[in-house]
Amino acid sequence: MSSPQSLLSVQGAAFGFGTTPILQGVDLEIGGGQALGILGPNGAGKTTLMRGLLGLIKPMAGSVRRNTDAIAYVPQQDRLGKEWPLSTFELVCMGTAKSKFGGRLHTRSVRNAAEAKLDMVGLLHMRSAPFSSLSGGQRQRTLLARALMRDPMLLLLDESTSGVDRPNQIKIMRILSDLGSGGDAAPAVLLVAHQLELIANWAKEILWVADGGVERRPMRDADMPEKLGILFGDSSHG
Amino acid sequence: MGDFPLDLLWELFGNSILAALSAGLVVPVVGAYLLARGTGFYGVTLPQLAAAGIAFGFAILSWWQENMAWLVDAVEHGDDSHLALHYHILWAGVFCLGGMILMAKASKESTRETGNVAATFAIASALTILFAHMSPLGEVFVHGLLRGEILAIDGHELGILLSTLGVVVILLALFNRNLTLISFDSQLAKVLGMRLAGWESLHLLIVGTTVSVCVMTIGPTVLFGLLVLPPLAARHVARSMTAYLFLSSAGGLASAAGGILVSFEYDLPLGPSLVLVAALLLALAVAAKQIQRLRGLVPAKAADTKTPADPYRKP
Repeated sequence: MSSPQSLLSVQGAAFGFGTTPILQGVDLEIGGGQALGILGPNGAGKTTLMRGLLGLIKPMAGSVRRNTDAIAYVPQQDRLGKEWPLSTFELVCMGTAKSKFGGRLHTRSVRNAAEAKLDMVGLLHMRSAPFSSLSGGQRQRTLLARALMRDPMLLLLDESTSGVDRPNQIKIMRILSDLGSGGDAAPAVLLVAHQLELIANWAKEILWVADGGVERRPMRDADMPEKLGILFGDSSHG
Repeated sequence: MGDFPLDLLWELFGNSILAALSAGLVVPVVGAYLLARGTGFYGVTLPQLAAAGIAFGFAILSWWQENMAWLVDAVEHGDDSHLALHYHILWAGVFCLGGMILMAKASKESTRETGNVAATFAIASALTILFAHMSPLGEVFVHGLLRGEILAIDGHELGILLSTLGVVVILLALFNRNLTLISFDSQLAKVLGMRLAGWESLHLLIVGTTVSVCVMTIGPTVLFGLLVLPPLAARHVARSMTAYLFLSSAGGLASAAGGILVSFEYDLPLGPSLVLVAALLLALAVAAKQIQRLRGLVPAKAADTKTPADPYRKP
């Protein structure tokens, strides 16, 4: 039974591709204002979990209930088409919901919102620049601005700090911290990350994805030696 | 051209000029989406599939007249060109849409999309020749189409072309942002609640209809050129999606106008002339980009300071 503030409720879910489950027995309850880091070794199923939570893949067992429509996500930037000559501003405008007729109009309010979000991520001065000409960090911040166009209650980010230089990583983490400052009314944010120290001051809890399952732990337990051993791929930590 | 009175020129070739200009305005926008989706090769494969469909229609014409005339009462070209046109567009559409569906299905099941499309092109080219060979009438007709002779367009053909392109323009104007979104980031589109299958079908329909009708009116050679060359040129200079679509259309229009002038001035076939003007525009766009780069007007791609993507990855 989900609590009244629950934004996302997962019960006994299994996620995978084809007939092969990658994660099984996933139970999660995500409420407003929660900040969760998703950690785990490479290939353990972090992106699969994210796709399952977003509804991009159906659970092979169990259930996933999303109690809000205001869901946004920030994909891995390398997955996006390189041939599109989209400007930074056009890309941010993509984040708006569709109109009554199914079309997406750049109304004045949409344009104003897009400028506000670009300002929020510190890229308003790059609004006319082609998205493909931005650095990796700038692209991630642009994708974050696009996600924020929906004023999401549930925001999922897939490796948004990977392949990004330290100043941009810090900027992204600062924006996420600001988002979470509204308590229970603030959006819940789930971030797939590789660097524990980067999310240590932001995340309250971690979802540890390994061995075909998902384990929820307080952040203070994240540096358990055996976990670090798996994360580093080095038995000396364990 | 100088010896020809303009009013007579318009009377004789007005339909063809309008067809070339309207196709030049709209077809490159359809091609712009194909190119941006990384499916530029479709721009040559789909017209070839449509040509194979037309040749197939000729190959089975006598059987069709005996058994299927109730569906589309096809009669030999010349006796009733309107019905013949509908019959040819029907087969162009069947082959074009059928090919697109098969290629999309094959691409979902494997990552070798370019290979699949190239193989389809090779098969469609061979089928065009074989089907045309089965009907002497078809051989002459398909040869004319491939040469890009668009000087003999009648009012009915022009009407079908203009109404088709008109509908395509309306659909693209209404839904271009949705079509961009499903192509650029299908996952976000799904998260936003868009029905991907429906939007992909709409895209399929727009491309398939444009190609089927244009192959029968302006021919595959002109269609190849307009689908691929103006968007490729626009891609070199555009800094936004809006500019890309606008420049693709403007480049197509300029290619059509230039092709008409060259064709009349030097007594050359209109289709190939148009394509060569489009190629010249592409060369100019590439040169313009290089000059801008040399003068430092196009900034080098920004780069972050190096941070490994996964610092904990095993060496």
